[in-house]
Amino acid sequence: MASASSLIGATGVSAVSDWVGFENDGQVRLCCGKVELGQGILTAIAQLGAAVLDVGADRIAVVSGHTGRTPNEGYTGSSMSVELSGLAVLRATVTARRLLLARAADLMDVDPAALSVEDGSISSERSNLVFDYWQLARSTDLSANVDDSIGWDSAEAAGVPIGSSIPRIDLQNKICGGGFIHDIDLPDMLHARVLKPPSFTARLVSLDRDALAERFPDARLCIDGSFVGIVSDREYDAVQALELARTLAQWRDDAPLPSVENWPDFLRRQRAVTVTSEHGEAPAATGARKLSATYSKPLIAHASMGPSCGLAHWQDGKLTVWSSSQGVFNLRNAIAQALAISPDGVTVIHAHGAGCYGHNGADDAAMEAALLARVFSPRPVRVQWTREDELGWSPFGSPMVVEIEAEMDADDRIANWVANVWSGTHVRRPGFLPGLVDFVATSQLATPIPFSDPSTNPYAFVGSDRNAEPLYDIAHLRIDRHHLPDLPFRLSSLRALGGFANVFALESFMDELADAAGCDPVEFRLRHLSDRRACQVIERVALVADWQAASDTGEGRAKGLAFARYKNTAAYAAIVAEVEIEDTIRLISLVGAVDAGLVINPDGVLNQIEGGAIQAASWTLMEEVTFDSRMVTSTSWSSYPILTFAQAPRTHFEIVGGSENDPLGVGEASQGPTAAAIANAVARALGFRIRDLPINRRQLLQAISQSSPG
Amino acid sequence: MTAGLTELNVNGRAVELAAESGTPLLYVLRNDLGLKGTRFGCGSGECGACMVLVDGAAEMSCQLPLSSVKGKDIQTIEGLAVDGRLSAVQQAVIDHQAGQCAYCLSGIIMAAEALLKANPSPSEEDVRQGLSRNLCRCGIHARIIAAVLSVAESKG
Repeated sequence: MASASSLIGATGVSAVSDWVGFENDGQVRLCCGKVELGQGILTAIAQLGAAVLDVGADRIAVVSGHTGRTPNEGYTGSSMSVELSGLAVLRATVTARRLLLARAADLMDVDPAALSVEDGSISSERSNLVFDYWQLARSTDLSANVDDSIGWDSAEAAGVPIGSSIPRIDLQNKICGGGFIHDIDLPDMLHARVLKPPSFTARLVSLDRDALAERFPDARLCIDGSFVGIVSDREYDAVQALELARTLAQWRDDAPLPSVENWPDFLRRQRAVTVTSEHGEAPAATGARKLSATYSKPLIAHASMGPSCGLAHWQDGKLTVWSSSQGVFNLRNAIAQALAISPDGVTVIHAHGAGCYGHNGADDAAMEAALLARVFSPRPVRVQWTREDELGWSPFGSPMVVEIEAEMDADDRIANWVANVWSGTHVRRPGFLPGLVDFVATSQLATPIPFSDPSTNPYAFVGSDRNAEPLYDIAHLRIDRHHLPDLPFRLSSLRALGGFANVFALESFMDELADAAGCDPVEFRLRHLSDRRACQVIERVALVADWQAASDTGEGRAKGLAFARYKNTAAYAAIVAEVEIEDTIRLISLVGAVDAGLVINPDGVLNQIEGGAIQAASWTLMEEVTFDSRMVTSTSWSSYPILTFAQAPRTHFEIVGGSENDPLGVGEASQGPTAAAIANAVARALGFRIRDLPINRRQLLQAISQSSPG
Repeated sequence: MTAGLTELNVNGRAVELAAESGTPLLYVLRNDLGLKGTRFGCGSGECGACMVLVDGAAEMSCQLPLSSVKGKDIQTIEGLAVDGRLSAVQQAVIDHQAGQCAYCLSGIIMAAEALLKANPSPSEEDVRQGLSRNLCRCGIHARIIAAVLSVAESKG
């Protein structure tokens, strides 16, 4: 069985030349299995490689996410890219540098320690000879193995001037008209749209092909079971033909969607498989102060700015696919399995999409393109999802309920913490494991490949344990995770996975405990933290946000603080939110401090932390997928509103900590703390607490009618 | 829907287009003219990703049938740089690293160009209002506001 780490990182021994090459004079090829999602990983990798090799960053040509040309580093996700890919590139470039310098030392008859390198040129005070990497590479065997004993503490890593920010290598192109998968034009390309059914389980009964052909004689149809693909030479023809086809299709609905009054009641009634983890001894009954609360989070959407796009070309028995998938090797395997061909006959090439934040429709668009490319071979096919497709058919972030009960001792220290977490799956990605196909299109074919049962995937519910255990020093912890495999929605990975709801819940609860103990929320957290780095980010954010230990509640304007170390292993983040409540909840500011260990590109880190916080603010204040008995109803920007420029907070974010620690992933670190910081600020401003996301006007009015202030 | 020729001006160049007159400008730009910088975000005028300048005003190209822009001056993101030099707004976006996935930025930059043309010294509130038809999902809002204000300050 594949280990979790092999799903996210490269495994086994590799050759230096798999990662680094000097084939083109003056240019350094740097290969990377991780892909650009907008998080800046390719820039960080380029900067790291340039620093290790002592070449100008503009000499680095990054090749990423190509099943024919780069190492397989599994998925780009879980905030592991710098930790894993960064380490892999560090090892490969350090090994390459050592090999090339050894060759130079040989030719120059000096000790390697006497060499100095400047922009790829190697010289020594003890020799008149000068060589460059490209000359040396011709007589150096770079097929040697990468030395995987090299770590971040290696001499080469210690000496490199990382920690300064080079600009994003892809940004300028993207603001001058290029750069996205949506922009790829292949010769003789067909434009495609896929008619999605009116519900998740509907089956096609009939489609009036004649009526469609009469209005759009140049459009061609591919109907296989309930899969309906429309292609045309001209994109707008395909767009219009899709809308006409929608009116010409007859469907038979299958299972209706359930009615959900509230998520706590609904999720608790579902069939569950429970996993328990426990640390320490339950304290004897002491009559100590007990507190409990229940928190919930609804279905939320990726809501990518750019609806998914996939391209494919089938020729001479070989399939080439372009996708913005987070896992090109996994996607290749899933497509090959779906088409019953060998993976050797499929090449998947990553092209940049809009921000996806996890598993959105990208893999599906690729599969749809592959199906249509085979039918309409030899013409390449470009599939573009509509906005309705993207908001209705991308997997969602699972609804979750978290119930926490805690006891404090006579010193107001938490002695016992018992949590129950209810959650659907957080991963059902195509090709996640061999045998898991999991595309929308293949589930609709005349000979369908049904979606896998989450119970059969040992990793399906791993996401719900992210931050289920608080980092705080608590003598006894018991977490019961109730995995719900039967939820009738398409669920998969969304940024922070279960960590978003878990941190929202636990950090809201920490404030409730602090209140019960009559203690300031900052002081209460510090009291329970022996982790020095955790204390540091909390103290820093409190300082920068001008946290007042004694502040009035119920005055309509207040600050709230929250902290988490993502997964208890990645970056540390502390956030202070300030809100003002009149007839709506206005988010005035977000202030944050992050400890990410050794930082390659500080601005990249700040951009990710701030972006994640603003996105999480949108999730917290506004977002919930809506649905009726048939289908998702929040399929437009007006029915699924997200934070606007008018609503965006002022921001200030800082990096704390030094480079003596290994790098830590930041991509998901600010999501959970932002939700709780906002919830805590709202509770202080109102004088009572809202525990169900989103914290919007409806929740506000409901909470007012159900509770009394003070 | 006639298939005659439509004449308009795109990025300073006169063009004649054979596309059907009901075709949204978005698809004409991307497919007939190969100008990919104007982006498809929703097709219903709700996100601003497809914004272009039409006679200087920021409009959603997905909502403009070709016939409605006959004879007009269209400026897209590709038309901002002059002799390889980025516009002030584009340069400010680079200087502030105001981008993550960057998919929203073509539309936002065009909206900002129109805003600054009409109001060279906008306040922060003016900038927020000026970008009210543009969405961003990655959370670049604060950096964009700072970038646009920096252009205003440098000119003022």
